[in-house]
Amino acid sequence: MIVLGILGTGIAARTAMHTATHSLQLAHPGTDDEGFQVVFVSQKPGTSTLGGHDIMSAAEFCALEAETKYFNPAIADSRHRKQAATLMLHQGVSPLSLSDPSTLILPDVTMEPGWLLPYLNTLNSNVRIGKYFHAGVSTTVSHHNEIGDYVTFGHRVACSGNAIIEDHVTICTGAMVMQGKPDKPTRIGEGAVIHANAIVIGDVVPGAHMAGNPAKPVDPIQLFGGEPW
Amino acid sequence: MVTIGLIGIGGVGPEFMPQIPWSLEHFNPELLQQNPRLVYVESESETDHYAGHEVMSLDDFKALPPEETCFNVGIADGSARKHLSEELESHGFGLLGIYHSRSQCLAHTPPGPGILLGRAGISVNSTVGRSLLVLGASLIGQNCALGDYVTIGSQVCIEHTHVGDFAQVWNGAIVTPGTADKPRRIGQGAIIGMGAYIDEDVPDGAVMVGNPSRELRRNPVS
Repeated sequence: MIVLGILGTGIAARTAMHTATHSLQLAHPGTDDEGFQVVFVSQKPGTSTLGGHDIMSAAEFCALEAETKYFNPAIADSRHRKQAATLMLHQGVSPLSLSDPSTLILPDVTMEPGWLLPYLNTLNSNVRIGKYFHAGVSTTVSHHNEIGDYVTFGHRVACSGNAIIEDHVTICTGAMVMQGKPDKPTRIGEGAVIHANAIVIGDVVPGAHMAGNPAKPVDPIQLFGGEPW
Repeated sequence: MVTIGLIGIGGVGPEFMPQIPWSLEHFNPELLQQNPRLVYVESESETDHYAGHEVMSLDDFKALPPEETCFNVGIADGSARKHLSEELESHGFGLLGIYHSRSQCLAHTPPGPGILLGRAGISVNSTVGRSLLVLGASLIGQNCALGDYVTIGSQVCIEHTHVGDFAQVWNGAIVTPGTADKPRRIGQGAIIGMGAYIDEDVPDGAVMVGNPSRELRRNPVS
């Protein structure tokens, strides 16, 4: 039995579930669908199944007897994603990258393992992407982009050419990053958050929260009335 | 030997190069039977190969026999597309339209030559001029009339809209539709910036940005 544990039970995990069988077949061509088992892994108590799949605790998943065991951290928050992935790697479980058949990856794209690419994503040529990249639906990553580790994109994000997206950056739904020049790429600093529908037209300092069109730095506590992340 | 040259290895060219075999199969099967070679054309390239295809300089490309050579220009700037395509057509080279394998073109009249249609759709009752470039996830809805050398970015949906020659509508811009008897007009050479929100007609040469949009400057229209 080949087991895939999808870490989390949220919207990202449910999206990941739809891509699971296709991705397992890519990793193990020729294996029958009966040979795969896909489970959710969650720390939160509650129902024991979700959409016909078992929900396990991390301890139960690690103790599970299987021929091959994979995990994918389908958690939108990049810090939690890193935590969960590190835990699983310590337990000797290997990451599985999940992509939907409708996702288009053009030549010259290098990616570290552990990504999640659901429907209708496009990765153009000459893109480098770090580990555990996480995209929403219908995102576009254009040419000559460098994307770091644990980067999260929401739905309909468009990242134009010549941009450097550092580790742990979150780009929310509908936001866009304007293209840089080959000798001066647009740089989004580590841990920055680009809020929904923001249009980023220049460099973003590490840890900044940007909102609006054109995007300006905002105070997240003022914006949301509390600590959002 | 038939050669198909795609000019430019910046952003647009590599996006369309992998789509050429599908496009030929569906739109130019007679060319596909001749087993054409696909090359990039770029004069300032440092490499002679790029993503599995040969890179030629423009001068070498022009030296090829015109009757066996087709081309398209993968450059986002409409004036550059006009300049290069007219020059090469005057030498007798054929301008070849390229369609993405997931594109759909239901245009009322056949689109003008040299279309570069990405993962996008053109709806019924629309007309499209010469050398249109549309990137991914866009929709040219019904009753649109697009001029020559228009550039549409990704995630743009327009409907009941007339777009002038050389206009550029960039990623995620929102253009509120006009009506069937009074279409929205985007002027000649206008540039709609990324994510701009347009709810009025745009004059010729205007550069519109922001939400709500404001006119950043007015370029001279030649």
